[in-house]
Amino acid sequence: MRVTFPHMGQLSIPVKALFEGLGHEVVVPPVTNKFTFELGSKYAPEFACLPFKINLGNFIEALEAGADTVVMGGGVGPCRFGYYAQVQREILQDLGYNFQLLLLDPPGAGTKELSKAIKLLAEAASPGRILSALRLAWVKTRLLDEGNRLYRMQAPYILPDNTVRQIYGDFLDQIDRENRVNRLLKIYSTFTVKINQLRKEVKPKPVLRVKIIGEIYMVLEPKVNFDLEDRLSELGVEAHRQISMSGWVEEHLFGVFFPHHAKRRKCLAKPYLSAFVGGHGQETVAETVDAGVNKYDGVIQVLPFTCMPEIVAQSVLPEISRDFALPILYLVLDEHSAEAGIHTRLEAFVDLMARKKRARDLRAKIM
Amino acid sequence: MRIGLPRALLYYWFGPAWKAFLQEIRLMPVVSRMTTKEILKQGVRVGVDEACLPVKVYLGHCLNLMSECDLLLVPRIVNLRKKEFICPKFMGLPEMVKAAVTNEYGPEGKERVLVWKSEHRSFWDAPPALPDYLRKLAGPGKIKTGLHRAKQVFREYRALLHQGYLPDEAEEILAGKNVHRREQGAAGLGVIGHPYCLYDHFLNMSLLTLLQRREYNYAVFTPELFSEEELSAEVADLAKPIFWTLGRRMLGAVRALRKKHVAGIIHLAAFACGPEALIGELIRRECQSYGLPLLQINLDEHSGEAGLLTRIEAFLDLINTHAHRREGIGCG
Ligand code: SF4
Repeated sequence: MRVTFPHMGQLSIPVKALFEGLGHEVVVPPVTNKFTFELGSKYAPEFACLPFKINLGNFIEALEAGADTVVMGGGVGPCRFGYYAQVQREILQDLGYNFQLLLLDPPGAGTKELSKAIKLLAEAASPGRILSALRLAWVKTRLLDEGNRLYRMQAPYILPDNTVRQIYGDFLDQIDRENRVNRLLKIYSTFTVKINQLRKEVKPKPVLRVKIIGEIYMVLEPKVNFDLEDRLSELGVEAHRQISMSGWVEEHLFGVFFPHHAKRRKCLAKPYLSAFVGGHGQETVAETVDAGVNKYDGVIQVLPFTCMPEIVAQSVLPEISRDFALPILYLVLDEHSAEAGIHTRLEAFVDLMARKKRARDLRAKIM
Repeated sequence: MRIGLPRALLYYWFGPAWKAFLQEIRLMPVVSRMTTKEILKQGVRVGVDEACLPVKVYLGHCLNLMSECDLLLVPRIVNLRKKEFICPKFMGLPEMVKAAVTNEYGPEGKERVLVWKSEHRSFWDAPPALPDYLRKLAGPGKIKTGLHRAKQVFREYRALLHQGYLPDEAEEILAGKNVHRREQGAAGLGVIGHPYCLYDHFLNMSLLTLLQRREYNYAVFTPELFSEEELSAEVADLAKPIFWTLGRRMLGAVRALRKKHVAGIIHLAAFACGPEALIGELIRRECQSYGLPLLQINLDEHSGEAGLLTRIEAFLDLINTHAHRREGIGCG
């Protein structure tokens, strides 16, 4: 079995570790590129959302590279993601590819796909091997998330000194290549020491704090959000996000053990959006409120065009923005979005936040 | 007290029953008039840019009603059936409406929105789902009879739609008026789409009645002509059940229509509709595999009558030649 799966930020690192740990050959799709966009928009339905198209592009490129098994997530609605795979399978079959689709459908979706997928994926491995593969993937996921968080907090101070970029890039590489848990932990601690050291060496400067919210794929995948986090770091902005791979796993796969995610979401969102609206809609509202309460300088919502849960969220964000005097930038992206335009808007937004902050600081001083 | 009911979205599904309920508890329902250009314009102005056309229309109706009623009744419909959904926008509709009216009328506007939450069946069977305000106002006894009455009307209304009456005709019949059955032609034509696209005469420029008129003279079939059981049975064999009720009904309808040997199918989709982007693709494939002519139209803010009509006419021409060719082959 030559297994492939769609990209989403750093997701390929832990997923690859998992499948290899289970004894499969893994074909990681080429990093999402211009061609992926073209393939995706050519073969996907015109009004499907951007993640659908990019996933499809990833699949085509991976199948071309010799994959024969596609592993894809499922869902029970109302978000469209739950039905992606059904439509993508048809499209890929029409294009003449020979492959099997393994669908990780949550229990309750009314299909037997999950047990079938697990059986096929785990059949060659002993229980001990399965456990260690899962553990390895989980450790990698956690470390990648933590590493990113640290990097986003320190980089805006250290840049334009490029060593920090280098250190982070090496960290990602090492996490990808290393498959022993104790070594991984060591890699992470070396990374933190190095970054913190760098930070100590630079003069402190004022930076802005921004929270990134929105649809998980668009938030996590730098190739579709035009390197949003990197751009912010360069512009001297601390970028925070609550959405992460490990957070998703904790909330959606092991919600029983990690009830605090759901609690946080409902609690914070309640005054503005009391109902679940699918996808990350309620989360978006909750985190905007959090940003307001904690006096962030601004919030950036990233969503694919026609994303239903985010559109519901978007309708209530202006009210939160008013209540907390919190600037919000909406980035609605599709395959036609132009990098230059997005970056100009981003810079203008950063300027706006900086002006507001200066005014606020000045007022505080006078008082 | 006058309670506003926007004639948009699932009003076409539930409307008369909501109305009956309000009347039964001695309140005055005020239903907005048919969509107009003005209403649409208002909705476009206050809605989020990215929202789909039907939601914008709904917001337009809400704003239009605000000056004519004291309170606005907005449903929060989670689903119509267990394990299914309609669309996230129905779950967050009250918030979208509140945001829009706050924009226009300030914070007091928001206070005038009543939310009636429904999960499968709970509209008529679960008094706690009703807005607190109405429950206190009417008292448990009246609420009970009201819901009972609503349930009854709902059944009658759905039965009328099932017989082929359009929603506005069915409403007139329920109000005791006489409605002539329109004569239907011999050749069948399927028209599918979400109810608020099919039955909003403004959005689709009265396509349904147009197709039935003399010059075309088709017997028009919509998903509402089939029973729920029929439609679900048609799609029971899908590898994964479709979890959007309206989408599932549409695909089921395509399969049922094929058995009725319709000459072709017109699919009226809403611009920027999420579920239809995927369902539309499934429908396209389905029709292709049957060799059934299909026209997919995206209704948007700017679809002008002329453009729509030319496309329909071209499609009907195509169907005719298609039919002749088939006959030709049959004779040979
Ligand atoms: S189903 Fe489509 S048209 Fe209806 S509200 Fe949702 S996105 Fe809009």
